Amino acid sequence: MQPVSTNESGSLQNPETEIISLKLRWFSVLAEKRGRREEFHKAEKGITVEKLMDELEKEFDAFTLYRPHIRTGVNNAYAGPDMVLSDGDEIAFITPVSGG
Amino acid sequence: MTEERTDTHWIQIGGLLPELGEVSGFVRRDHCGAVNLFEGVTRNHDSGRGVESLYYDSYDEMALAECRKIIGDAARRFGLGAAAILHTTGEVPVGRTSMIVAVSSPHRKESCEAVLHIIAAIKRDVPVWKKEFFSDATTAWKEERGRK
Repeated sequence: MQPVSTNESGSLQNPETEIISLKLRWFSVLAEKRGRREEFHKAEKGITVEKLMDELEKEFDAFTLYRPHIRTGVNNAYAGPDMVLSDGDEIAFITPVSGG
Repeated sequence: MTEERTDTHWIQIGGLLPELGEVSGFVRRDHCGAVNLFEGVTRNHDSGRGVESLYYDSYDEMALAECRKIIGDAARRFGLGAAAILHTTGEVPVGRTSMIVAVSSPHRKESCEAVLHIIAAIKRDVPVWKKEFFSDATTAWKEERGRK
């Protein structure tokens, strides 16, 4: 049986579940739809890029629309869906670019 | 604005673009017989619609990192003397320059090929986005076209 403890709000918490903080960056059409250019997101330690995108789809309709075309940048470099994220990572969701 | 200038490359994302002569002077090298400059300019139409201006958004830090990779790759592939990528952000009206790419190389063929190679890589990988402001007062991000 897993040991349990209570957190500050008194709810049960599994001590083996670590929470990390991620910085999300939004640009272009996604920034407009989101209404902000950055935010912090709490996630379970061990979360991958793909799982993070699954979480965002549940609460951001425009994200679902653009997801098939989104590439992800982690700490200023393109990253694949299987990349495991770490506390403090900066994740950018990059819709098709159009510079030039 | 984000900028990085070394002995062999000059990258600028955002801010005012310098005069072409300054960029040309930066890439010029004694062992290079070719200097090639490209300007991306806002045109007054797109897909049959009148365009008044463009607005560019960018992820400055990653755009700079991607440009550094692109220049490094092009320098190895084409034997460049030096290279520059400068991209402004914000509003760019018709007729104004949004981007300058410049290279130098010992011979002309490599300089032409390098510029085309660099532009293609920018359009594929550098996180910069354009929003079009049309003559009929509507607007659209480029990736939004056909999705409304």
